[in-house]
Amino acid sequence: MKRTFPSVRVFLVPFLLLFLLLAGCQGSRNEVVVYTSVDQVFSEPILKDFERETGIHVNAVFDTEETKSTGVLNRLLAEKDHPQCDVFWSGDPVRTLVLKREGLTAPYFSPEARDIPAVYKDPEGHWTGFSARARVLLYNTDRLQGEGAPASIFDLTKARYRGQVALANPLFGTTTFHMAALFTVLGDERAKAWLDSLRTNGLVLATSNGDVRKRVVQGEVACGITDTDDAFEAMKEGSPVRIVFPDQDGIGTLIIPNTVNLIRGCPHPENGKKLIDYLLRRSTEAKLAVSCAQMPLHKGVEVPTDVPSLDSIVPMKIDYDATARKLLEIQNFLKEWVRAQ
Amino acid sequence: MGPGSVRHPAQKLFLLLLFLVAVMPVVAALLHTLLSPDELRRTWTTLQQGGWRLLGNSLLLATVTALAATLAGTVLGFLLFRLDVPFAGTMRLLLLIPLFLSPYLFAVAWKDFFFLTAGTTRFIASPAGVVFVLVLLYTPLAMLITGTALAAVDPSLEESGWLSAGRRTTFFRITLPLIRPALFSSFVLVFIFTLSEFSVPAFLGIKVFTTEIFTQFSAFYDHALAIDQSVLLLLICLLLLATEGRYLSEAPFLSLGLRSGTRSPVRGRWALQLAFLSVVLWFLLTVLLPLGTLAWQAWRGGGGMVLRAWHLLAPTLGRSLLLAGGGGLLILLTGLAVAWRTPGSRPTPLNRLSDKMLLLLFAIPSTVLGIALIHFFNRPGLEVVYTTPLILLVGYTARFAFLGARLTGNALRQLSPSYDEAARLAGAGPGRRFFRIHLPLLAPSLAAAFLLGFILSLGELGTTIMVYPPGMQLLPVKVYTIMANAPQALTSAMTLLAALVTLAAVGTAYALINPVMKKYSYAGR
Amino acid sequence: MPAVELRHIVHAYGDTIVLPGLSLTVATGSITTLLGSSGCGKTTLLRIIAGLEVPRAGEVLLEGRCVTRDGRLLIPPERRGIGFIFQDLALWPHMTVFRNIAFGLQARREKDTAHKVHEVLDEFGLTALARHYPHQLSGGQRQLVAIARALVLEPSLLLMDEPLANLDVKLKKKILDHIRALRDKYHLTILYVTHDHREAFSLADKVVVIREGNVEASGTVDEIRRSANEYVRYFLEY
Repeated sequence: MKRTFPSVRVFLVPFLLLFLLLAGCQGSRNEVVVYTSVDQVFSEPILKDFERETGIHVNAVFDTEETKSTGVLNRLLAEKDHPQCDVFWSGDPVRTLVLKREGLTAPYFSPEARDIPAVYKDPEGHWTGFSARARVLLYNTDRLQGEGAPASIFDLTKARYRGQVALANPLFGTTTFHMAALFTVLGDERAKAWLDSLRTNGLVLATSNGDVRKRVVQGEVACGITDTDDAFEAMKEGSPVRIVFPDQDGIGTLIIPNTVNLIRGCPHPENGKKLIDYLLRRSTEAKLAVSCAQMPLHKGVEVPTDVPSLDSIVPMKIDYDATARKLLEIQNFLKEWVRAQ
Repeated sequence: MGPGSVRHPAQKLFLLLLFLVAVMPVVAALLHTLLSPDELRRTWTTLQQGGWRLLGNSLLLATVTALAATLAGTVLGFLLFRLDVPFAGTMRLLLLIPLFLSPYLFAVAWKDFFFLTAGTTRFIASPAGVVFVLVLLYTPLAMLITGTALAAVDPSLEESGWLSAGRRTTFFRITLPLIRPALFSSFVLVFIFTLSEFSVPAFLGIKVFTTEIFTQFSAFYDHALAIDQSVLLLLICLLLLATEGRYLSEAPFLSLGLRSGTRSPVRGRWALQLAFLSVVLWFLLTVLLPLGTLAWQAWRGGGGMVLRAWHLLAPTLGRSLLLAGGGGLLILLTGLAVAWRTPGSRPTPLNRLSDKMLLLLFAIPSTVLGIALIHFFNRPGLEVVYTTPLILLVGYTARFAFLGARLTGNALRQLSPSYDEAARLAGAGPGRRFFRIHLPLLAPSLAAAFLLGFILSLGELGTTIMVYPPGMQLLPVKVYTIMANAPQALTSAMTLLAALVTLAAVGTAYALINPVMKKYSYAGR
Repeated sequence: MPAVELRHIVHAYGDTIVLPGLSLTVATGSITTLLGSSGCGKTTLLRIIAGLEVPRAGEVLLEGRCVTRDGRLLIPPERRGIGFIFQDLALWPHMTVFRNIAFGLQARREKDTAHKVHEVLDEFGLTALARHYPHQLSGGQRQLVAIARALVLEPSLLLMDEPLANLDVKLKKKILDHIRALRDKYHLTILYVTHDHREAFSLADKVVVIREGNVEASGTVDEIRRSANEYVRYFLEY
């Protein structure tokens, strides 16, 4: 006797319906896919403005802090053979340079980038910088006043700051780029010596720049190294903190531009280029100056009074490509340094 | 195979689908790196360079956490499932709340609590602090497992002990040994969760093996090495479960449910009052204090902060709840398909193989699963899966179906085979027996599998963030992406709201399911 | 033609041989009791007859028709027309008394299900309990429901596996009387398993004493009482 199993049909039918429903959702529309490591609170309004002005629907993937999940860059690398992303908008050059190294980027020279200084652009067109942050010292004014505040990153190794300095894990994010820049500028020996001095001076290793900000704001530590957007956010909240652009009399302050690039083999290259053009506009830089105190790379962009101009800051003189290569060299050292912490 | 075992084509079809959709991607990713001698050599080198020590840290942390959570869970299980403690049903649900929070945010709340009250984070930012946080987080799971087992103990076995040796001796010499499978199950489950947990040790500054894996992903972008290192964790989990298999044979692994049979071994008002007080203290410690810290931080940001948090999270809720519901359902169905066999019959080779497949998926770090799914599904022709919510459902099912399978398997073991035999002799075919006899009797366990799957799917981040379709807004992703640069008050408000939404959803689901569970909770009587 | 014929039944659980080659016939319309101590293979025999277990060797014939041979089920349990009262009664706990009894009729897509169920409920005095669940019934009531559930399907053979264990003497007698009446009314063949010889003697037309999977003695109640077999004598004394 042949057994019939109605349960087979019972299970298959809903799955078939679901399949068809989802397949029906695959209709083509005018869209662009962007992955961004810039904090969602800042990047999303820009992308929404683009959507409104152009009618191109933006599908965005936002990032978390590196220490909380493995983030968009790993997703991009995993999707290498069949890219889903059109544009990668990074908050720093590190990730973009990883992509370029892995062959994931396509060259595009945006007309909007014409008057951005050459140091902030890839000569081969694989990435373009805009709206920069800086690596700053943030200190708690209840803990340090006036002359007690540090002016240089080298001050942080002094006895008076023992156990009172926070730094984000140097294996991730902008901190890692900061370390690579220091190794490039100071040389390996001096840079290693500085890091070791920090450690012996009781450095507090935080999980992220946001964590550094939080610890300084709460007074858990007196000061820390973080990015300008984190620092300005703390000030906007009315927290008892101040910012110092370090080493203005010395090696200068590291400037970290946002970068944007087109993904090789992306599904919507024309819309991707339009989005890149939009992001590189002066108006976008003006918006980012307001929302997160990022400093425009175009000259003459109107910014709020509390946002410094790049002209007023002595920048650390580095080559971004060379710094990215340096980063590869020092990664294992940084890993051991963190482990020994 | 005897005449009592019936093959279901639907079961085989489902398992084939599971293999193709979830297992093959992971196996392919693992083989790709394991078959490379260079990669194996690099893995060995990293182990020699301190990796073994980190692995030791991880094993120690996981062991201590699992032991402590099991102990605490057993005590709570006893108080809430065996005694007539007032509001026991409500407390059982409320004590689950730590499971609604992401481990990272739970750790943040505790760290802030210690800083704000004691002015120091020395305790919490230490190995002991990590154990403290993880034990509080995973004890609810242990409570459910051991508590249900305690409730299911045959009263005559204990009563005969009371008559000869007294209640205390009976508890330690008869009751505890009887629930030995549940104790072991609780230990293994918490051990696996702790072993693959990264965010809490990282946040509190404690280095464990998962730190190494995570660093390979996030700092070095070295997928191959990270996957290879993950295999070590996988092997440890397999070894642990092989030990369980040998030690416990056919004994139940998981028994989760929200029913209880209170045959109180403790009498006297003072004893019950003490029990109630203990439960309330635990609730205070594990729920009120961390949530209170979050609430206070949110309040400090001003009244507008909660509203702002709500506006940020509101667009994510509908889709997240729907997907979590879909995830819970698939976890239930997959678990049923994997565990299914005619009651009374031994697990078939198919049961055993598919159980191991689910274990592989459960034990692998969530990021590795995400990468495997990308490599497998991100190709022309499979966009209908990869670029749609289906990929998330695949991810949730892969991550948590193991729990569903063990829940169902345990319930199956408890079913008397004569129910099936009587139906068979009455002339009912396999389909009718499945839908009219087996499914209703399995209903309480299936409901528990759904609820647990729902909770875990709603909060899943590691795999989700790797594969969610661009443009889709999901609750856990939104909390973390906004947190990257948001005031503490906003982050706390968002976390609190997320927990409350989860509680409301679970509470609603429980209220809807409970009458069903009550109606069908007579199996074994 | 006997209702049941077992020919050289061999069965084992793992390496433990439970039935080394048992042969047995059960006359149509009789009440035959299988009597023996625990573990002697009585329940296994019932399960083999029902088709719930497959013997390693031997044949099972029902009304002359071979249903099991040489380790193969020729006719599955659901088509053997057998009623079975399990030791644990196997009342489905999630179904009311009414639904428990109706289940088999619905499975066979029989007409007038409700009428037939009510009829049998009346017969057993269970009408007032139709909407009760098994856990709400007393032990005796559950026994009656189990019997009603089996009989509503009008089997020609009823297998009963120690159905009256744990009942008091008075209730046992009542149900045993009921079983006899049912045999007469429905022309049933009943194969009844017990370890209690008093129960066996009060019910059976024929008693078969089983020892370690073999038929030690068989005959009428009087014949068994007068048996000179040492084991039978020993068994009856205790």
